[in-house]
Amino acid sequence: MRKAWIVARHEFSATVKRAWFVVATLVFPLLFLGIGGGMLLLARHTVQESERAISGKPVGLIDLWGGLETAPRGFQVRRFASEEPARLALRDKELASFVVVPPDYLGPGRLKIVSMRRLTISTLDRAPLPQGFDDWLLENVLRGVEPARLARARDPAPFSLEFVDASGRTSDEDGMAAFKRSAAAYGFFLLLFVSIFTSSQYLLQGMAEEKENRVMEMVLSSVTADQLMLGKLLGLGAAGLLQLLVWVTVPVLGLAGFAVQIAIAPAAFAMCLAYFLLGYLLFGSLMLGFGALGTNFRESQQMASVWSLVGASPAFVLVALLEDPQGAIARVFSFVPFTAPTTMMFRYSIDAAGTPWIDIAGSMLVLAASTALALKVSARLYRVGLLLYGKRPGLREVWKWMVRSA
Amino acid sequence: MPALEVRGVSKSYGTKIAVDAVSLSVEPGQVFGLLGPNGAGKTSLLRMVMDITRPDAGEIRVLGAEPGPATKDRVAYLPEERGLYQRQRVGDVLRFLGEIKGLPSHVAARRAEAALDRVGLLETRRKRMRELSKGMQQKVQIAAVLLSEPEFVVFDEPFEGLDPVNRVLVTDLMKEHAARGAAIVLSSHRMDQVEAMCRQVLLLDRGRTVLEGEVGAIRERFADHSVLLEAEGDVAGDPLVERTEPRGPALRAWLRPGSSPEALLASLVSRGVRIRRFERALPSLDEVFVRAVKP
Repeated sequence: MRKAWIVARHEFSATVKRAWFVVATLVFPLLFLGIGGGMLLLARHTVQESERAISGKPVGLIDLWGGLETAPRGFQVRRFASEEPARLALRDKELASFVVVPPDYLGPGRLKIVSMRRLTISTLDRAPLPQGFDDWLLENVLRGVEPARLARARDPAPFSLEFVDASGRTSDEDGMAAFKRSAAAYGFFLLLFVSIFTSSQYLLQGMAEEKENRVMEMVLSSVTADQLMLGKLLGLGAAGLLQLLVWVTVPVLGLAGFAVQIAIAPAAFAMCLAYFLLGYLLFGSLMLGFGALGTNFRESQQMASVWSLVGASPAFVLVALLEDPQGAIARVFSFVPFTAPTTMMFRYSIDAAGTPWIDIAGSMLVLAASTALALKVSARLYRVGLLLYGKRPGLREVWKWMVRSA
Repeated sequence: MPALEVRGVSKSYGTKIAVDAVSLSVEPGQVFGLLGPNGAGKTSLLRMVMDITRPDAGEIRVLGAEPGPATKDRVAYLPEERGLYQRQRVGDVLRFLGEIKGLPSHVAARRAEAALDRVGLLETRRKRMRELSKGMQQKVQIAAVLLSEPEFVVFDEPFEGLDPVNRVLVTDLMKEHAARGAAIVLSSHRMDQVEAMCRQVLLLDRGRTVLEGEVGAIRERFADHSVLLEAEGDVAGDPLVERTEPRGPALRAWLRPGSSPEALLASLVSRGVRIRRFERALPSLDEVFVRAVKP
């Protein structure tokens, strides 16, 4: 164990001193914050621009229905008899937009809005009309109705939602809280996936470099292959953990700085840590074992890439997990060891109260048992693969070695 | 007690037999030569001795014990396929290699500096490995092998890529370690170096032992009825000489069947040939190697 510890210390120290590790550790969360913050600012700016362009100018109106008789409040209307002069005024930038109210407006008729402003992703749900235009239409449609009814018609279904789960527990979470919960779930999913596979990539790269540098035999004359593998898993796991902590801390501090609070249960952090460790040991050992069969980094990556693909598979069912975090798909993915870490974290972040403890314990048990088996099989492949130079074994050979170790 | 004892060891990879019932013994303080053409099974044998792979049959004892975690700290190995961590600093690499040999960190650091000093590379300790030339990297590797002061060392082709000055340095280092009692196995294609360093050798070919014993006795066994002489006069025309071949300032003369060196010497003297040097010609290890493994 002492030698595994020395190897672990060496691997950790060599990894965290590398320039790309420092860059990846610090730049990734800053990039995440930068892109997120930038998009938010850009969206706000676009909406404001859109509103500013509309609010400063009158809106053109061709009232073919003939019911819009009252004067609007808060914006100006310039009436036209037909579309032609309205288009000219729009082209000369005298109008922000113009609206054609069809003669059958009270029937199936639809408004026609003509504007020089294109919709953007952040203004998709906003017609290019001034604020208060809808109210003005409603006021004219319901002319003569008492003010209280008119006010209710403007906001006919205000609600407060009380959610009841299968066990009868209730929560009164609003839409924003639900959004934050989803954001946290996506954040944990991404964080866990990226940190597990980044750490596993470090392992793969280090091992391939040792093979390419021919340093392996010298090291193996001093430590056993099992000590070397354990040391690498521990050392690079610690480096991955450090990276994970930075990746968690920086965005949390950064978001706190923006006064944005994301609803995350403290237990979620503990679960994230546990799933990271188990997931990393599972994928890391498999990548080391199978990666050792390659004769250079590229080949090692090819041999190990199948595990990355398997690990990424929950991404294809994220929508299903979001819709029904306790559904059949979610539960199946929770008990498959390769998909358990990210799926369980996603489920728990979305619906902590509704996630049965048996699912959490069961998925961890399956994951732990699979990790133990993977370590055993991978140790065998690693021992055999380390001394293979310039010769890639066939599938039959690999299978034989795996079966022998199991 | 021998430092290394190999008894009837065999190893196969699939259907290929890499090592076939090989036995040998190396005493403390001895430099033992392991010879053989490419693919003879030398590296396969050495990997088993170093507990990197396991034999299919036979027994290996290193320093009185089975090769394993218990013996790893007392042995050292300079493999043929070698290299070091290219991105790391020379001093850090050596300290790490010392620590995994069981040395405490501060001792490993001190020994690393001493070993670097011994090979003339102390000033490179803060440089990264990739900044060193290939020859310098090889000297660092040799320093790495010796810094744990092992009781048993295996050198697999240690002279590959070294210039004559550094070959002498490596030879001296091996002699120093043998002098303090370390057993050394030297596997090399450089027959001249093996001949100069080793009293005992073993020649492998296609996994099997072809020759084993003292260098002098082996050369005697392969002697081909010829003499080496430096003389003035007609040697080739002597009736007891079958043919001659110049060897630098000397001449190698093969005797006719039935004649002896003593008879030839008497014949030459009686014919007025002036003799400055006359000795039995023994084949070099190179010649023995070629003749022994000739298909």
